[in-house]
Amino acid sequence: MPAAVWTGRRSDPENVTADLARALRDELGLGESPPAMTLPGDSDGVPAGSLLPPRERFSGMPAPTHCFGYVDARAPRPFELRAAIMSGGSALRRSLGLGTLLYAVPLRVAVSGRAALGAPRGTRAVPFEGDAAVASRLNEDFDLVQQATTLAPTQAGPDSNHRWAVERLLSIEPHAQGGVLFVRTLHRANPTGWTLGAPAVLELAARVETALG
Amino acid sequence: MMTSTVANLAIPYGASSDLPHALVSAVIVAALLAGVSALSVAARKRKVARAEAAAPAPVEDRSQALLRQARWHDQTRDQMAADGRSAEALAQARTAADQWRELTRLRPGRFQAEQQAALNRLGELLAASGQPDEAARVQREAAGIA
Repeated sequence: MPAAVWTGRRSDPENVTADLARALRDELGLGESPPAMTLPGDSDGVPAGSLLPPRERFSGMPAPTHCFGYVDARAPRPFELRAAIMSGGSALRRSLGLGTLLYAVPLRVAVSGRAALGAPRGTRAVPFEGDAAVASRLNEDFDLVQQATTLAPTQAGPDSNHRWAVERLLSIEPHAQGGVLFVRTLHRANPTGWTLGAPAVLELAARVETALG
Repeated sequence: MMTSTVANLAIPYGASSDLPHALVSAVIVAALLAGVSALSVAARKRKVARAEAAAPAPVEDRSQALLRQARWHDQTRDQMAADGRSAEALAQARTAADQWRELTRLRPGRFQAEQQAALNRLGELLAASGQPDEAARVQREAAGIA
């Protein structure tokens, strides 16, 4: 994933976070960038009022986590994004790069229990598992399962050096104000640079609401 | 003339025999690079995991503590006001309002209703304690919150 790398003078966490917010603005066609902030690398990555779970102690990544970029968007619908920002570089040039992305999207429907996309088996779509009622309604929509599988990759790359791999997490969980969709994903290179995949996440949230509504 | 054209198009003997060798070499080099790369990533992952294991447990974000404190000051303010301890209630109300202000600064777009409620309550206590000017200023601030 060589595209989302900030080197030299640009390798400043505030700069990375601002770029994340700008990328979301452009991807979602917003008038202005959503509120964003940088969270320290030693923090649990959960600011007050956030729906995101605390970050895991072990990242499973080949570079140390320097900090987190956190975006708290209200439009086109509320959602949060926490992006791990990793540090690296050579002896001469420091660099920062994007690691895993974790989205939390509050749903407008109540959820009786947790359901999550099963562990990957090759390239096939794997159905949702967990709460029987929730999982069966989600699995009735095969396109939704396919869409979820596409969105929750466990591998990306390779870039010039290596392949990125993350544990799959795509779950729908109950919450006081309704359900919450959690998606762990990776950024993707595109012709203009890189994308955070936010439109696809929000589209999946709308589809989950339709399936559970 | 024709013979010479055919001769020019013919592949030299040495080049045709080098082609399979070049392909095999390329495959071997690619396989070696992939192997070295995989080993390097595995080694870096182990190094990062060791560093993460040695690091202290992740700490709570500062805004979480601020939220707890602001809620505690809200409750204490109301409790003291109910007990008739006006001066102490006013002090708690000032602290609560400051903390909600700080929270809305740290978390743009969040906790505005809580900040507004804390400012309105502070305004009431200021008015009750004979400070109408400051009460009016605080209430204007509360009304200005979107």
